[in-house]
Amino acid sequence: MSSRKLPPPRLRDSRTSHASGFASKPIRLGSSTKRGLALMIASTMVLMVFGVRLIDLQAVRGSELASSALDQRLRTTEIPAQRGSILDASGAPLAITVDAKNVTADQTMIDQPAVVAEALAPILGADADILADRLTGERRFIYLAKEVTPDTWEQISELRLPGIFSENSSRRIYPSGELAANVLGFVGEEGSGLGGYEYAYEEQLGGTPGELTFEKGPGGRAIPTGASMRVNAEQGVDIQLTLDRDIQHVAQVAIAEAVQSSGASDGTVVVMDPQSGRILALATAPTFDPNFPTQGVQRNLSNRPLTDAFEPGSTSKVMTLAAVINEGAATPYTPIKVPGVLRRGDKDFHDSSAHGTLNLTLSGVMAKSNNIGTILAAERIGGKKLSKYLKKFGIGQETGLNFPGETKGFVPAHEDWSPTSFPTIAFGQGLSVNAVQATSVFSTIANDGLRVEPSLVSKIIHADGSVEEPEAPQTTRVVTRETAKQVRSMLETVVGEGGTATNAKIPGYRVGGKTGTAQVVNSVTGGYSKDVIASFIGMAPVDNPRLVVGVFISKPKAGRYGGELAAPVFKKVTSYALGALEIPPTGAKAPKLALTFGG
Amino acid sequence: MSAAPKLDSLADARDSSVTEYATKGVRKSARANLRLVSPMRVQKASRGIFIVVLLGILSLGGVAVLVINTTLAQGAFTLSELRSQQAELSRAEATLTEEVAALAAPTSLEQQARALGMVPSSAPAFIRVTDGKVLGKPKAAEGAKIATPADATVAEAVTDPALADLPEAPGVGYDPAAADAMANERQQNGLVGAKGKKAKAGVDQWTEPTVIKAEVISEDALLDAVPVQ
Repeated sequence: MSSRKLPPPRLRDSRTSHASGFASKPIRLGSSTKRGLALMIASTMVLMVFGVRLIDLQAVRGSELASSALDQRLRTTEIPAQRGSILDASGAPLAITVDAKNVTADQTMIDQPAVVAEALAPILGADADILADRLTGERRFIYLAKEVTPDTWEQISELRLPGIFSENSSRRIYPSGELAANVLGFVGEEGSGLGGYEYAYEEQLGGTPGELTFEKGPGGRAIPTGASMRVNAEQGVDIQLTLDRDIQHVAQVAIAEAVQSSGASDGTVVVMDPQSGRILALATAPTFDPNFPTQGVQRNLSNRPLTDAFEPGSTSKVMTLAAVINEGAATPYTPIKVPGVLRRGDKDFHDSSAHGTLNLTLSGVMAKSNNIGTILAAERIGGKKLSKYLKKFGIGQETGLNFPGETKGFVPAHEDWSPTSFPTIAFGQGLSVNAVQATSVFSTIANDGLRVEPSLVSKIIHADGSVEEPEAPQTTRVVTRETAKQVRSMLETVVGEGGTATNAKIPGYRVGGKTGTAQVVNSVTGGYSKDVIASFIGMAPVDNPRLVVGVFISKPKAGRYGGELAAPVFKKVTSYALGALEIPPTGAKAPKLALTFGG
Repeated sequence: MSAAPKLDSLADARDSSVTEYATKGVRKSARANLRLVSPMRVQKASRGIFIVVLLGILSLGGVAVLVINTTLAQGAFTLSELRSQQAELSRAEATLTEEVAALAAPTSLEQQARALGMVPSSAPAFIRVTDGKVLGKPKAAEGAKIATPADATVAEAVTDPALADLPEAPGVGYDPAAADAMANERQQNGLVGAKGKKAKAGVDQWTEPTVIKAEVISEDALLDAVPVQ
């Protein structure tokens, strides 16, 4: 190109030189050269400006500009992480997350809000007037309904309504409704856990959301050949609990019925496997439906078996008598002369029903749940040793379940005991426990004196299929095997003829347990109120315990004693669990322990 | 020694021919090193090829653009098709997961079992397979009796016209072929069904199970959505 353009100036030059030759005007000749020079300088300068600008854009600020240009095109969207499920011991889902849609609207696109609302109302099950209200206005984005099923959205989208859009969402559902609601907890609006294990395991269940960065074209769509970067979402883990949903269901139904029929304020059932420490059911009534947590009553949202502390009452005598036997201070056959009244400190201690002097064996003291007999037996080992045993049984200690809002109960330190503390604590008042701690005491006796820390989480299953087992539960030797065996045979007399819990008998099985009727401390006055907690904690089969079940009924109006209120619930739950877990009776005969001596 | 003269002679020969063609009348010695190529011929030939090559590149580019665009469009079509298929499937999955979970929940199972007249047992018992011994004390479950077809007496069964149409018991003079033919006929007439009720032939007897759906949640108090029937 340049080679073609060059010749004309040369030609013109030759002509001008000719012309100048004829006209002989020397100024013109000079100015044209200068003009050419000036032109050249000017264009060189322009080119230089261009060059400088080019260097500036490409070399000096090049990478910076390129990246800011890329930033304009790049869009980052979040890849949500799927929340993990909560499963029962068999892997059945207790809490799952399913796809859902949020229905949104662009008000400016809707000309006839009333018509659109009329069409949407039956599908969303909402009031047409309220919907019409939400569809009228100048807002470009407004929610009409959140977390509807994909089916519902499908019905809406088939109507092809203008200005109605959807947004991907997910929904936490608890298919079994109230089942284990107290353990599972619930999630809030943002889908994060607000109660129970949903809260405690929020981080693991929730996972980490990923990111997708891509270059978007003018239409907002991704440019197929453009740069893109994907950080995959880390899916939430599945948490498998030790709960057996069938036993849990039976326990929940049984305790709900008992609470209702007795007019109690609430009730709790704890089912444990004594050998592994696994909690098979943790039921409480009244409870709530985690699908609709906002409709639940606040006091029913907590997990009472772990968050409520109470004075255990007579069920605590098991610890006292086990300690006495373990220290070699007595045997189940040791005779104890029990007076009608016993004065200790500045206080007279009585039994639940007045009596003259009784001739009871240690087994008799247990079977009749005798307070004075228990105090007399405890005095054989003293308060210091008793307080040591209470600690070993896990009283006043964390259960190890790491449940949010859990209480560890309270036992005053031995140094702080008043003269009446020792006799009071010996029969289960003046100290507080939660239901799991109380049941765990019997679990220790059931497991031959070896305490296994209770557990509720059996494993954590990661998205890649790898399984994480929680740390093995701690074990503590509390009493000897022989002591545990003797205590168990004493517990059997409680359910036997002349005991306080004949209602707990399961035909064909040997059952042992202990009733409790503990007075409730009045939170206002600090003294004891008229209200009681009726309880029964038992095990089956008592000669080779596979199940320990604790039943606690708080503040009943009709009925008062553990034997009449709690024992029937124990029977219902335990007989079902024995069948469900296929635990046959041992077939051995119960030994007869003398409850009284002399005449 | 012999190579050098040879080279010289070659150079001479070339020089003379070229010089002869290009410079007539010019002194040989002055133009010894100049060679003239024929530019006109080369230029003509290269322009044609150049145009062909250019056109080729252009059309190749055009085809490439077309192919890439088509591929991308095809990919986009497949992508959107698969996306909608995936959405459809995950929608179905979500619905089915919910249904299965709700139906398999203990509460629902208990309801269904009770509807069938089942009651919980209060005394679990086991049979040991090795010696046939019964472990535990089996006891009849407590519960209200509900009427089932199995309770019908023989007289009721005979007088009930629906139950009377039962196949003959095999006995003397039993003809299997005739019995089969009869059975086939009955089946075609749609006489075999629940309790012998006349079921219309070709009509699906499957009844939809009642689905217990977890309700739609909306945190907006005014917009409490309810499940779609």
